[in-house]
Amino acid sequence: MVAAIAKAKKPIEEKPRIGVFVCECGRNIAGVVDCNALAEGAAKLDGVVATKVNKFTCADPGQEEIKRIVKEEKLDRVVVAACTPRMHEPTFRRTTEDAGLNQFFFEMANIRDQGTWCHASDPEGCQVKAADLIASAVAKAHHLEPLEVLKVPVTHTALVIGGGVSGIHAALDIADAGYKVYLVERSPTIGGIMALLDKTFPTLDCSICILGPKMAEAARHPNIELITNAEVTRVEGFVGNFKVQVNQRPRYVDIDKCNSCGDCQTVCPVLVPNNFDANLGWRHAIYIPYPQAVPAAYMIDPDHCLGLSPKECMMCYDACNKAGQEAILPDDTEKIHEFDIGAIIVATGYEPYDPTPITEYGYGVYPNVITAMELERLINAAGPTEGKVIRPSDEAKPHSFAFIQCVGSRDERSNIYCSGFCCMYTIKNALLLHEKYPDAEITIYYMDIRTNFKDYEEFYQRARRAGIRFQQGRPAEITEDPKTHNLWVRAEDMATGKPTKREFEMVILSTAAVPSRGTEDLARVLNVPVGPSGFYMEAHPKLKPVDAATEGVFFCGSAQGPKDIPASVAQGSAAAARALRIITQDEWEIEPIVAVVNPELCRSATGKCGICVSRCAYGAITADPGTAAYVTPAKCHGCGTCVAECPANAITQMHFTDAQIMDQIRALLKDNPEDKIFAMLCNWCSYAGADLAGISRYNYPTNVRGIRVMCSGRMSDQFILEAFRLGAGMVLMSGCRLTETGSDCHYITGNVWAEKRANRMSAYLERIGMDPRRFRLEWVSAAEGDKWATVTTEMAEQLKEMGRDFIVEENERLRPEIEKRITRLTKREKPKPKPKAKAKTKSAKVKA
Amino acid sequence: MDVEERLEEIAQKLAKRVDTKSCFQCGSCVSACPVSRITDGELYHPRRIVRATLEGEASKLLEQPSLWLCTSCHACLEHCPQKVPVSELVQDLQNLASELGVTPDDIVSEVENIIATGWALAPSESANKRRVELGLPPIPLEEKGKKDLHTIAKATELLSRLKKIKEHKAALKAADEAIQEGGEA
Repeated sequence: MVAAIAKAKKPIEEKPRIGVFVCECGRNIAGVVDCNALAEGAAKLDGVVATKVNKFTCADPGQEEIKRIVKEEKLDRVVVAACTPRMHEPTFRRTTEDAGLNQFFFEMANIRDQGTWCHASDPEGCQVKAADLIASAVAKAHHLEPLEVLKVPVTHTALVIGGGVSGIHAALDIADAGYKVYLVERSPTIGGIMALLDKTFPTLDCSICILGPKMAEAARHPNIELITNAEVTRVEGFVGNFKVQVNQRPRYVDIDKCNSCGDCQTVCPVLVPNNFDANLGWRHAIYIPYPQAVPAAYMIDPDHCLGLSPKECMMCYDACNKAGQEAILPDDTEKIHEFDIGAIIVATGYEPYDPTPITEYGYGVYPNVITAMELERLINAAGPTEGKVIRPSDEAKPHSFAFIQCVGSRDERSNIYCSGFCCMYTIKNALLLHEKYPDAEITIYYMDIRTNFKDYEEFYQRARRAGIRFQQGRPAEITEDPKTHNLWVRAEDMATGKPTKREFEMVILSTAAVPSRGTEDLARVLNVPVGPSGFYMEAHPKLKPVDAATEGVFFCGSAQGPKDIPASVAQGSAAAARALRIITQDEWEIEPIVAVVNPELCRSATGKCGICVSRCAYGAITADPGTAAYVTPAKCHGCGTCVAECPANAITQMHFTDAQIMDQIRALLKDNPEDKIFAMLCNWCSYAGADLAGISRYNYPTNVRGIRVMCSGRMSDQFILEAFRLGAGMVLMSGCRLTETGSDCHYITGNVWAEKRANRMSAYLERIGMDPRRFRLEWVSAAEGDKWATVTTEMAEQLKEMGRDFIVEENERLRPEIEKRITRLTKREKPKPKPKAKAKTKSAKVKA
Repeated sequence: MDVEERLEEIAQKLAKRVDTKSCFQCGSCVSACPVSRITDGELYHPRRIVRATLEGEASKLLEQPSLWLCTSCHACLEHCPQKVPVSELVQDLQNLASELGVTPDDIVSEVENIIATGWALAPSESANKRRVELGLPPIPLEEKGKKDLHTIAKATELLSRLKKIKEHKAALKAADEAIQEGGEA
């Protein structure tokens, strides 16, 4: 591997022959800018020997044309000006390779997602920007080096986190394919929320009857190791090579010996509300969540048991021994498992929203206002009332029911998203109530009814025909008759425009689906992002719906966003197929964008430094004093933080070298730099966020010129200073969110170092007298296209405010100082025989 | 500047201050509104006020006396799932109406009462007499307070606004009479 990189580093002697292929993308690009003019402009750039405009470069004819022209014109670099590299870089790298070149002799100019899509209102400005972006890609192409992809070995196992219906299906598919699966579930049983439901829509088949067999199958599958009562606490490594730690809480019952006879619970003197029954029924301190639980074994709830340590009550223990099972383990302790895993599937699901904060509906105050989940348990034959729906206030059978939709959904005060399946589960529950109590009056209060999948609208029709009343209008409040505990629901009837007030004996709140408790913690453990709604964020909303941005991690089911059962099952199988793509291989290719140390420049070779070691979040670098630092390629994730932090400029990041980036900056700022905002964007969040601004067609000013690096940690001081030296109006550093609650950085701590560096840079620029508005650090996540547009618009307005003359004057005034600073920084490249002494004088200088 | 232009200018100012665009017409405001409840949604209907504003038809609302039925209890705003400040919108429309001089007469006299007496409905002499007969103290109308109120009304340009409204109304009335006379003639 190292040899491959060393070989790759060999410079190319002759002048490169670059081909530029401009894509019209139908009207997506050509509808805003003149692609022929872009090609003509590109033809004048140094090193460009061929240009071509295509309608769709990514389509087969477009790719064939690239291959043909590479051969005819003897090209050795390919530049495609089209969409975002996050979309088609892999496609064109393959084309480049098929054309007989090293696949890394390819570079992309993003003139669609960060060009025409967000600048339709300013075609002239967009034309100039697109030309600059192409010049920047060509500038980088000059410095491209051939690289060999790195191959890492793959562990042929998968981890599935969460044993709901989605996780069970993912685990079964992988296990059936013949690979080992560890299925980790936090609660004492698998089955998730589906196991607690009564019937399912739109077929009204019994939920546990169809899920139960799947749960049992997962438990007895020879390739599945089921670990319940357990949580994933640590994940290290990378695709194909994860090391996972799972902490399993003690169950105090041997699941192999327990035959779930129930003798233990009959003697247990403790009764507490059963959370598996939405706290409507009771359970003992030794209990089984529900009869079909898997594993089919009891467990002791240590928070309520009277005496495990010291052993006090022990009545269950005696009963179990008397029955001859000897299954109870009073001295059970937490177990810590460690597994080697090839791919990880996250299926942690959702939980129902607690409607207590929506005080106008009186949940928790009026006893007869219940949630849909509580109704599920009441109506369920296996529930606490054996299927009888009764009022909590008096245990009487109600004669009228109201359902209120969107409780905690579509509400700025709680969750703005639509939870998707509540319309359907409410219609289902209304039909079940109607079946049970045909005389009952049932009203559903709704804002919109959403029944947008196969056979769903028919189900809605069935409910209307059954006589269920649908009233459009969101109720403002519920009040209670204190004597009867009946409820008054006030809502406008949108059909008539009149405010209405109706009396009901029971009100059911159709509560939102929110991310499972612990979603954020697990996101941090896995180093994957969550979106604004709190659910896990997929790598691409359309084309990678079950992939995490971190390779080898996948999402399925409601963990990724609220989903009904068929969609959760489909995603479970999709995630399994995506994971199998990896774990069925012996080796997996990873990007060779790793950091490489030049031992001749490294300070550690002649003394003691180790800064890079402390900056690496993956422990990929070793630097013993007296030996040059060494980066283990398979461990390096390619963020480039060490590169930017190295005080001796001794580290290079493959495919994102200083030389490449510096020339990109120079190309972008060649003309009218004072009018431009130079932006550096991290690949995972900010670049994706800027793409999203394009996808969402948010318009922002055309004077933003961006470059892509993998992580904000790579954004060196030199880049900022060079941009200002060239006269840039403003510089923006943008990376993954870093807040008080944690970092969204895809490289764990890259943005932490970026922030420190940016703060130092701000202080320096202010000290030399630069307007502080001209340098800015912003966190923009991949979901924040609107924020990207807002930030850049705001900056463009400020730039206008400051005025061109002001910028030009300030640049003239500060250039000597900035140049001095650049010289000082680049001088470090030379090896220092006495790094310690140098460090001292430097700090003394700063003080002075 | 003609009325239409002025309306447009004010509507734009209003749109900047009050964001009503996220309204999805769920009717929470109507069922929360005490005036809508009492009037059975006939006279005062906050959802339709927002809708009309979104449709660019706010000018049609300005001369309706029902615009002034809002009690400023802000229940609509409190209950809105999209945080649309309905009551603030209504206040803006009221301000706009008064700027255009189309405030209803009873509102004008109410404001005048407040400036003159400190009371929206000032106790009449007979009412005070009755209070004394019933052994209750008469409601005082303090001279100093009245003076302060006048100063405030002047400083906030309420007086000049009232004057303009009255002038506008008088002009309208004169125009009406002229038309009628013309018709008769």
